[in-house]
Amino acid sequence: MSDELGVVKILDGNTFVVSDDRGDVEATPSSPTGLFALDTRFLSRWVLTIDGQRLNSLSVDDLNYFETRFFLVPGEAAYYVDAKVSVIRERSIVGSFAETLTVLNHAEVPVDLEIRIEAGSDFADLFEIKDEAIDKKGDYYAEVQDGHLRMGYQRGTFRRETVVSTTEPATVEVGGLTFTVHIPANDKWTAEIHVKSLAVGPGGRDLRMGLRAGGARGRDQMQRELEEWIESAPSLNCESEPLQTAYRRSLVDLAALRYSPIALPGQYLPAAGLPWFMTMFGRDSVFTSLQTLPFVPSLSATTLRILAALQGTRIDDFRDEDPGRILHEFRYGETAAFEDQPHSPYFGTVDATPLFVILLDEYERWSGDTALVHELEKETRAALNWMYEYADLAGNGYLWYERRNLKNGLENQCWKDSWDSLSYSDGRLPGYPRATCESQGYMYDAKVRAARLARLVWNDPAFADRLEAEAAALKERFNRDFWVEEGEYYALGIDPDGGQYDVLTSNIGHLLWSGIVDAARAPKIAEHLVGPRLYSGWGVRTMAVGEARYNPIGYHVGTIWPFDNSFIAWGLRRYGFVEESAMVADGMIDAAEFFQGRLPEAFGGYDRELTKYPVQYPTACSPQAWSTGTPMLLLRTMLGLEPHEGHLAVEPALPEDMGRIELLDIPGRWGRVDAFARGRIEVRKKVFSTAELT
Amino acid sequence: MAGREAEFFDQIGRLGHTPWLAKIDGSIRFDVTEHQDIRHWLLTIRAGFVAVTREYRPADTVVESDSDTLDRLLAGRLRLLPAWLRNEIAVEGRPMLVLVLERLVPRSPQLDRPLRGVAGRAQ
Amino acid sequence: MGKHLVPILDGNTFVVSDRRGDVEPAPRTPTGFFSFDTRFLSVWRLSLNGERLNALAADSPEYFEARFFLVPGAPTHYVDAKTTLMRKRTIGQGGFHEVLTVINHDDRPVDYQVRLDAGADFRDLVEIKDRSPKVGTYRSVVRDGTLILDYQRDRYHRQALISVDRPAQIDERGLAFSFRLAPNTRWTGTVRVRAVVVGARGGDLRETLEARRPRDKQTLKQDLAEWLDRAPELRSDWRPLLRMYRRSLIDLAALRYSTLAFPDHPIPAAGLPWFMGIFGREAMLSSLQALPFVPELAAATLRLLAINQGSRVDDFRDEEPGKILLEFRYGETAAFEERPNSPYFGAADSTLLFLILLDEYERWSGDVDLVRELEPEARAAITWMSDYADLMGDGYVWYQSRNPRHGLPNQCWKTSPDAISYRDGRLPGLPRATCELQGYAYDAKLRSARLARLVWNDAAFADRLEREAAELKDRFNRDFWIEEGGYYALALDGDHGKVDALSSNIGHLLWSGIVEESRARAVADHLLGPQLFSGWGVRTLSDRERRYNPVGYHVGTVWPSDNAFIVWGLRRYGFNREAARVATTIVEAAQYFDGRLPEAFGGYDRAQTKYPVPYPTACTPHVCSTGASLLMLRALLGLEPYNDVLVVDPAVPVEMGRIELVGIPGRWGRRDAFARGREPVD
Repeated sequence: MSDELGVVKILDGNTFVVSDDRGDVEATPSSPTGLFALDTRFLSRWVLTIDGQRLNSLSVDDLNYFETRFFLVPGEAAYYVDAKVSVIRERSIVGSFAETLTVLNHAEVPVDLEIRIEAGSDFADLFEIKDEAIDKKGDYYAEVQDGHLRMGYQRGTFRRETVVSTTEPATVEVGGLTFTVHIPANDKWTAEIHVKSLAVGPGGRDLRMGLRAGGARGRDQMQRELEEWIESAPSLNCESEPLQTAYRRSLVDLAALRYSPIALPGQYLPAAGLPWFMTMFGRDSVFTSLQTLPFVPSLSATTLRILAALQGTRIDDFRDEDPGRILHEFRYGETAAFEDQPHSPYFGTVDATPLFVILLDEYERWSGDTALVHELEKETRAALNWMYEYADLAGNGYLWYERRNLKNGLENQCWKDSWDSLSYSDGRLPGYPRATCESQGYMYDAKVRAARLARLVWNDPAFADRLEAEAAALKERFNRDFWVEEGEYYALGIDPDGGQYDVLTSNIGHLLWSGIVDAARAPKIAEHLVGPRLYSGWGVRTMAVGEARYNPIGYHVGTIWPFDNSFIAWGLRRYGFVEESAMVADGMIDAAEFFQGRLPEAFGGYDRELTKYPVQYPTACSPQAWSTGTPMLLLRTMLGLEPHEGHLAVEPALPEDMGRIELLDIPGRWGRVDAFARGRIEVRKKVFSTAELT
Repeated sequence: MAGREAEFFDQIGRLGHTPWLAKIDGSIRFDVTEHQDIRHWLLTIRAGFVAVTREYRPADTVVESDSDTLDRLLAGRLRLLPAWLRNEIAVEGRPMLVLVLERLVPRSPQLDRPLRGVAGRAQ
Repeated sequence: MGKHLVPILDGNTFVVSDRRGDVEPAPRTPTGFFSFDTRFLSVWRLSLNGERLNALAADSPEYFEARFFLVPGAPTHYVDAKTTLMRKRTIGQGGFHEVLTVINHDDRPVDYQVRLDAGADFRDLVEIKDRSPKVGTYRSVVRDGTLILDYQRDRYHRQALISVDRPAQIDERGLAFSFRLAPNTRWTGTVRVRAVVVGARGGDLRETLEARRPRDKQTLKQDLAEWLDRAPELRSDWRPLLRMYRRSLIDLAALRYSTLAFPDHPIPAAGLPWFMGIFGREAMLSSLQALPFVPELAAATLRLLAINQGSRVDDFRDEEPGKILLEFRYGETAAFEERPNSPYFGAADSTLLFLILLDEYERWSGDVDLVRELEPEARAAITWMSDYADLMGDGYVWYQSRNPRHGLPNQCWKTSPDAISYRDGRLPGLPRATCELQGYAYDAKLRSARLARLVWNDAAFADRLEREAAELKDRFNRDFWIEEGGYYALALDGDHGKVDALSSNIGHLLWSGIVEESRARAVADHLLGPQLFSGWGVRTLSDRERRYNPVGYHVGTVWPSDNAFIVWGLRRYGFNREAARVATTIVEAAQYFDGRLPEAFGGYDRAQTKYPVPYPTACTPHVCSTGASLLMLRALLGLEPYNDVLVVDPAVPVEMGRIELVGIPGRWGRRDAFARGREPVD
């Protein structure tokens, strides 16, 4: 995988390598390049030279997400001077990191070369890199042992090691490997280099060894698995090339982002995103599972199981943990190990818990897998219980949050989790606790859905009745307390004293998805979502133009998030706004074309007329799981796929320029069925200009 | 005035019908400076013939040069285009006619022979 | 052209910058603002409050315009930039201008200083390739609100003028705007840069000429739209083909170059960044390739090259009477004749291609007037073949430079010094006669005979040419054929020995028709065999040769243009399946270059590379590669003019599906061609 800036990534679960387009790694404290595993950097320097000269990249083959190939020549490219030596550097991550170097001599005479790989590691924790503060408390060591270069880091009993070895004769020293080779005319030389990352446990064994069932997968197995993965997903035939490309890209990226937690070997859930978030996140995993349910239902089951297994059991202020709460983030790095950071796991999220319940119901509706609903009854009840027992901080029936870990807990525990994402329209930040609107929507939906499960599976109609009554009351209350009269939309959130965060944001789209919006008010919401302040022409902005904190490249205050838009499109369809829904879907697929089918985490909120193309947000993760899931949910929304008691209903609302679409072999309780559609909705392509608004 | 100059324009005027000039239609005036004097040569190309006069009339292309530079040009020691790029001569009007002029400049007969190959050795 | 460079151009004026829009001083890389073969800006660096910017995005929606979206500082997670800087650069009117827009996203007022550092090394484009010290004098002055960067050597004088549309602090090294922006407001300013080729009496040299006036953006836009409208419309099921076709038409439009001699009849320039000017070989090959699509390029090219035809012997320029030029440049080295570029005639094939193009042009256009008009030049070209090119007096076309210092050692299309070698890697002695030159000579004679009979009314001359052609074919098939290999030698050396390397040149022989029928199959098999065919096309040199190098300019890379002529040649001899195979793989390769075929790409086996590996310093766009896609389309559809009729004889591979080419211009008016992919039969 490579992006425009020449960053090349390969990965297998949470082991990954990020390098430049030559394959070299020269990490600085703040740049996330290197070999990473278990949230730790095992190589921070990995530089290839020939006779002391750096190489230049001719091209990069991204073969699969777990392997790549660089074509290199020594020296600076100069006109009419042909390189006499070229290098093929093949790299794979299959369990561990391996590189095959092939040096080709194109000259008519033999050459003698000194080929060197410099290797070093700072064993930085991913969090230290993210915070740009590497301050190691332990000790480094390095030695050469039986021709292996062993680099290590020790802090108490915490020990991480990187071991570099090669198949060819080499001079191995601390700092690198040197090959002195003689290559005959028109011949080549090849060496394999292996890099092992070890989390050294008691007795010197790798921590993971005892846990992993069956050990690391081989390259062929990974290749086979990838092919099976793609084959088992529904196949898409459509006239829209961008959609076709985006779908294919999504399937492959989703395969790459699958992550097998140590606790459930062989089962996969989606990790959140490369490079910062190659780990388990409650919210991201649930959203991605929801998006991909019609395509790869197995992710949902694993996500539900693992989140249930790690559900909060006690009150722990450091981790913001409560009984019944679903986790936010799980990490394995040094900062987690030493509890410098509360991530093993951290529970500071307000929405993962209701989303967990929503996913369980949605999963059952597609799969008919009542066994899992039975299996997770206890956890689901605990989750529902958490909502009013622990989350109703103001005692008024809403879902509130306020971190208890004041040092490094999250200030904002909704999906817009940057510090300035919640504000009043004059830009002031609200106090605590905070209740955001979409969380109330999720809670409403969770209650309605849980009622269905209680009636259908748990055989507890009384509980179902109670949940439904609560949901109805919540909806009424919500429509009274959150409605901003003069603006005619829902407030982003409220204060305990009832004050409204009166900014216009994309969050109102999620309310449609949840069904908490009064039918009479829905048209106004739809109008806002595709109106000039929120809709850029590519998608719905996180925050409307004109708000004090609006910034087209502000992380949660003006950029456009593809995942956000996919749920907004779903919500619009739920309330019957087929044209508006098609418009959002259409804009997003148009945008995908500019990213070669891979939607980034977020892109700029600039007007489409101004930029003509979507401007990527500077350090957005890519690929990112819920952006990867976006084309799938949009596809579901455009085709109008809904399970109805064992049947799949197809009710297309397809933009005209998508042409014909066939989605074949959609899996579910019905076995496999096909969906066909033809573009009939004329999408308003004319875009607004907000120039006058600013 | 150098002898070469008069000789050249005289020779041009007596070229007779020149097939490749048939497609050219236009006039070139030379403004040649020598000390304080300016003298003019006007070449009118039509239907394959070149007429040469000493008139001072508007022309499609005007070439300004000092006498010395023109002399070197006519001796084949100077090429028109590079000289123009170096500002040794000035050109106004239709540049195409400058290219025509380049082809009218006399060849040095002693140089104008084919190169004959001498078999070389493999390197 | 580097991967991360953003070019815009109009004729021989162009700007190449990085993705931020900046130009860093780099003596050896062709970044900067160029005009008239000279670099007028070698430093062009934007900063905001002393900080460099970072590109969020950069693109070039039209070939003459680029946009950059910038934010200050390095990208760091979760730190939102509070400022956006947009930079829109448009070329035209003898230079370029940039519209800078700064938007303050902060909720408080902010003071800004936007600074542009400017500098110019006034290097000749040729010097950038070769590196040589400058002898002139540099100056930098501020006058009347304009920053003037100045270079002078004797009376040779070049200037870059930088001006602004609002108050700025201007010094010798750049300019700066200072202003305060209220929250959520924006500021816009425009900076203009003009290149002045200072003439003898001040002002721009070019302005004293009746040349085409520099065009503005609206004109360029309209012109491009009309150009695309005039070209035939392609409809196809195969998207890569559509994409490549559209890309090619746009690139060809971008590469049109208005010469000083015929400003209203642009010719194709050769390629960005090195070859934005008059290049005989590339202009003719691409005109030939584009004939069925944009026939006017051929007429313009023929006229321009005719007026510049060699008229005397000039060793420095490798000039000979009747010879057609290779290259014409306007930079400092041309002005001072440090390089033989004003013009340079060191090509043995250009004169032959001139005759071939003239005939092919008439066959499509029916324009006998031009054939009549250029009769003297055509005859002079034919005379050159016998009087000057036949260095050994044996009826072949040979080459050996008259300029040992600066002349090209190889005067065929494979110009690099090591391009012509024996299998064992030795380089042959001079003079050299490469095989494709003989093919072109053969073709040129036959085609000229047709014109002599049809237009020049000289049947005796026609007979003579046909006789010579027949003799040449006989002789060639005797002297060049390598019996044990079953192919034609790459060349003859100065001792008449065979230069026995297996090369792509044999494909051109099929195109010329000089190959004996009985030998054609063997040639086709070699072209598609494992030594030459990489899976992405035919390599310039077989991978068994000692000098083979998959990233060697002419000794192993794959050239799309070369392949297009090979496809045409294969079809000429009826090898439809092979033609389809080569064409398909080249179109497939194009996909990896966004539909834009580069000058050349690596010759690695396809099994070894998922993508075609780019050749590092390849020009892109390169006009012969642009034209290659058009010629391949012609060859696949089997378009051939027969008198006043256009014949369509498709050999389209199955995977290409349906192809419709609508509105093909020619002597017949406009015609359509339809084809459907099917298993081609030889």
